[in-house]
Amino acid sequence: MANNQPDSTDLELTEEERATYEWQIWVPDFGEQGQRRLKNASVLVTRCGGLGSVVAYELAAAGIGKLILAHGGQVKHSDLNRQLLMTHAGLGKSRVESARRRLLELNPRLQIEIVAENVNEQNVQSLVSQADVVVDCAPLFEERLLLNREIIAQRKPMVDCAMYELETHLTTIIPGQTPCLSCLYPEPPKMWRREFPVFGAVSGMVGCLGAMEAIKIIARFGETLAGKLATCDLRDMTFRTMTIQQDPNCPLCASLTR
Amino acid sequence: MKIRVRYTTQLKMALGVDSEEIELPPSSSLQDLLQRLRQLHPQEVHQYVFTADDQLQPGVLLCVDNKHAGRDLSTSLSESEEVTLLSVVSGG
Ligand SMILES: [Zn+2]
Repeated sequence: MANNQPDSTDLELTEEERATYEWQIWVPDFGEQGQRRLKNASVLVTRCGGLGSVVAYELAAAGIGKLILAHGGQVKHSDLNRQLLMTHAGLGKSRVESARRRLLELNPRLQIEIVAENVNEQNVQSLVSQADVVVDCAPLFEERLLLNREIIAQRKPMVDCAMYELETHLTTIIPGQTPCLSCLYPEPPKMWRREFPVFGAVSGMVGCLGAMEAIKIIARFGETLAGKLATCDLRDMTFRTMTIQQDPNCPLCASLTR
Repeated sequence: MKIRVRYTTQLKMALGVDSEEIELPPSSSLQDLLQRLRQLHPQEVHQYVFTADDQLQPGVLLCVDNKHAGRDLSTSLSESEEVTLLSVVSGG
């Protein structure tokens, strides 16, 4: 949902929604209009792991209209320290099915489309085209760079969440206005390992921050992390915000801002 | 001049410290700082900072006083600036 587009007027809030979201409708600059914007918006969350579970849960709680969830595989024991939409009873069963069930328990009004595979060359265009905002929670750099390429092509905003041990990184990419992921790391770093140390409280914290970024983009209030990278180190509670710059030679986004 | 260097994520874990103060000649550049770090921590810097042909690895972001310095290592440093070596991380 680009900021210059006219407001969607198709779906009004019901009395039940006004009651459910009363406490956040009191938030200055958000109000009923912000709530309507959430109701009329779709968000793609790629992978519902430690980050994506919490992003999706907070967006469902906030009254987002539609979630598109892409995550392959079945629930494993080692998911359960952080993937909060998965349960012990769901071990060995589909992750996205478990995610859908938990989200609908919280918000039965939510529209959910689940895709039982991770983002790949074949599905990325269609997945991104259905969303107003993308929240990237994927562990593989190849997957994140693929999403980055597609959001640039389709001019969609993307919130990018990442973590390691007790540290987190978060940024918001607005094609044509901010650096993209390729500006920051043009290719997958060789030193990255697929499995790494992390607590669920760390992924959950950055998942909440990522959800709040998506809410601000959709409802058009507050200030996002566009052009900034927020880093947190929960080991000593250091929180920083760095300004990031576009690579003037970025093959994906440099031409958008010339 | 003294420069405070901060390490994050994998590099911080490999070095076992989150920051240290480095003494450099006046008007040194980011490149000079990285070369000094390579002398101090050859193994870790080789693994996490440079590529085999001596370029900055694609997964490293350099920030000077919380501003991203891009990939231009000729940026000159000033007394008491803080340089952060951010090793990028991912989701999961
Ligand atoms: Zn770019």
